[in-house]
Amino acid sequence: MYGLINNSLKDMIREKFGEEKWQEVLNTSGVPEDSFLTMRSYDDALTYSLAGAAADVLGAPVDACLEMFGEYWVLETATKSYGVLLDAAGNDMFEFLGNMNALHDRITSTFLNYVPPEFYVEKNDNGHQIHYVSKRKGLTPFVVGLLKGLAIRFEHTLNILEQSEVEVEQGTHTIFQVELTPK
Amino acid sequence: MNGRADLPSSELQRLFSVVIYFDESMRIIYASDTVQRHLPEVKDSPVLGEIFQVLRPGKLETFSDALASLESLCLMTANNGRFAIRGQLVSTVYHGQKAMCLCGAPWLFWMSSNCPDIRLNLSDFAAQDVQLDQLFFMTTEKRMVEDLENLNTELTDAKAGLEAAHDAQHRFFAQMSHEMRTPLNGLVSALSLLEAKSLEVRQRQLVELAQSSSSNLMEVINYVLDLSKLELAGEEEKTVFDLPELIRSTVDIVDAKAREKSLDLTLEMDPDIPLHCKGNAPRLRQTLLNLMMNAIKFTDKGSVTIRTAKMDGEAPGCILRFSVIDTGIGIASDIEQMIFEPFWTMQSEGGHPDAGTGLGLDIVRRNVEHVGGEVGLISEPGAGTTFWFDWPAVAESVVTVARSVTGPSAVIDADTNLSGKVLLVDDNQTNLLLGTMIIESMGVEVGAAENGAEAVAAALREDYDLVLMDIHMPDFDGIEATRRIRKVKDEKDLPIVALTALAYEKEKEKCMENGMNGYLTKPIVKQALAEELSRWLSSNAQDPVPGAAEGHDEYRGETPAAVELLDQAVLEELKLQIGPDNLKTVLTKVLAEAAQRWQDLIIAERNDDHESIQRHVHSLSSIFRSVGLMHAGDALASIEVQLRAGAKLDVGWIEGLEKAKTNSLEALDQQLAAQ
Repeated sequence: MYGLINNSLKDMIREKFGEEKWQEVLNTSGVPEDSFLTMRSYDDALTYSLAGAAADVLGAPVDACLEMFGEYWVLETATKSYGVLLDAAGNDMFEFLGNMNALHDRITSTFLNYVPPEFYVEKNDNGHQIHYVSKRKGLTPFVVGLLKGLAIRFEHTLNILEQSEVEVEQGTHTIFQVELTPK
Repeated sequence: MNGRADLPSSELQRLFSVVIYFDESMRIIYASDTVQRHLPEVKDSPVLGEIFQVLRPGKLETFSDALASLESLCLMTANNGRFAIRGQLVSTVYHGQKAMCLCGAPWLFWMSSNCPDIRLNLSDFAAQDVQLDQLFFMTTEKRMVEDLENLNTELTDAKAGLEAAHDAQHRFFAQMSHEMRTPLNGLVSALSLLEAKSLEVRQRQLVELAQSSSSNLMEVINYVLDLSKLELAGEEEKTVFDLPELIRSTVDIVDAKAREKSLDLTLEMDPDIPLHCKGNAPRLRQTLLNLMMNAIKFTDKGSVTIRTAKMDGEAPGCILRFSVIDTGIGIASDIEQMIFEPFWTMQSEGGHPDAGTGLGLDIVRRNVEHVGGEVGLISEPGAGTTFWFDWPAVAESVVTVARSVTGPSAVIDADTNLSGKVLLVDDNQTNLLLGTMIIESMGVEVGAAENGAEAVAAALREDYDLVLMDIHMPDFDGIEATRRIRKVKDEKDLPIVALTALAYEKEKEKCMENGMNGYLTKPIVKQALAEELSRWLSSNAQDPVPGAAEGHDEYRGETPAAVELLDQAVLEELKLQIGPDNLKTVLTKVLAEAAQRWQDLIIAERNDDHESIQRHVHSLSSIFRSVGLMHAGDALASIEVQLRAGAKLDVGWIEGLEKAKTNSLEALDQQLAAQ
């Protein structure tokens, strides 16, 4: 993953828990770097190590840490750094999710070798189904955080009614059955 | 505006969010949804120029202009400032008539800068449009720059932290080394005393072993201390010093060692070297000393020559080349590179049994590198070695301190006979006694004061013709005393002449600015004193004072060639000036006062009382120099100069002086016994 993600994780831990905790996370993770360059591609294992170490140090499940990170990503990192792009991507959460793939397409043209996830939204009788498809495993809790962050951004009430996994050869396909209403 | 776009325009809209057709009269005949949403007035088919300002191409007023600009980038801003277009023109046909089509997208950067409140959607840009990608890239680039700036800050902070830790470590080493020296000094002294006792052979061997080990340990501690100081050194501590004097006094230190080994010790000094330099005198002395000690250690017969030369360099800077040339065992070429490494010794090569700790040359190298100089050697095994180093120096102009070497005494008018009453002010009793005797020998009445307060009281109470005022005194100094006297008595009523051991232009100026009328340097030289007194007192030349110097003419005309432990010429000069009996009295006084002052100095040093240290060093220097103990006097004067300049002294400076002091007083004691 790109340094952008690692930096964001670092920023979140420093902001929410302080510098000492970050140093503790770093030491626990065994990651030698203390600083990451936004546009440099780092091994995914490094990010997973940091997330795992954060769970150890903060005494919380990894899923909870990833969810917190997802929310932070939308509300802090993406908003502060890429506000114009987020604004262009939609006026409400559905429009935004509908444009998410197009947005990722553009990012792929800048971040070479970037392997973005894909999102699809389907309407059904119970509300909406949001499909999350990724070549990676283990980041579904992060997506939960993203969705919660987007709901806060667009001032929607999000209720995840059901979360199911579709069996795939590689990576992840998660379906979120959600109830999403403007506040 | 009427009609719809043909197939091309709908297809074009998939590729370009902005599509505008205009006819040969430049009237807009079609606009895509994005344009209509941002600029609804296009629906009224205005002429292009009515609603847009064209920035690029340079001219787009007519259809011909448009035809000529097909290859140009087209940049247009809406006259209402709420929309901008970035695109390119295509010549086409619209509903059977010639037309021009502008294909493009909202001009993202212009709109972000000029109307950031207008929200552009992803749908405002066709997938192939790179403007959003560029924005993303630029934002990311900005973050990269921030990353690098943050990294730079972190590295800078980390570097500062490391340097602080490094300094703290060296301070700790310096402090520890200092603390270790005191008990070690005690150990060395105790061993020396033990050595003097009658010991059995085995006991003596053990004492010698302990002595040798403690001596090596002391050297190592000094090395650590020195290294720590070098590492800590920020701005180089620089003082003005007498260069030839520094060289001579350093040679004097090793003179006894050379004699012990029957070596010829020669100093060849280039007359062009500057008399005074500004720089780190203790380091230069240490460097020279280490090389000389080494040369003597590794030379069993023949000579050791110290040669100094002035090399090129722009005034006032120059390079001083020092060479220490010996006829010793020499150094094999394969070990030449190693000998400057710390702890490397000839003993480790199976060479010399008394090779020391192997730190001396490392210190030399560090010192020389510290001042930006160079060091090297030329050697031939069995024939000898020449160590050389180049030392950058800055010549300094200083008022020459009056030395005790006064030249042929024939030029001194021993028969000077003046009349008047002089107040002699000095906190140093030896100087007071000596000065009183010299002045009285000229027929002048003398009153004495030992400090500034006494001086002011005496000067105002009694009717003196002249005050000879010491400058450096405790409580308030000679300058302050002069200020107070001047409030009551002006220069016509009472001239005041400064007496000081430190003769720098600035101090002289300060004396004059504060109401003094003349300036004399100590030790008191009769000729100069007589000349100064003659300016202010009336002369009775026809009435000579009974000869205090009777029967001592045999010493006239002798001028010592170099600074010695006890400069006999000064003593003889004094004998001429004050007579043998008075000289005995003075020398007795010197021995007593010097011993007392030395004790006071030790106590002040233990208490880290800088003011008292400076005062006692000044007094001792003055006492020693007044009776010709130039070696110790000059060493003390050098310390005093450093103290006044606020320089940190080498740890162990007092121990370094102690030997010079002890030897000097012993020499004086012997002299007194011989009188």
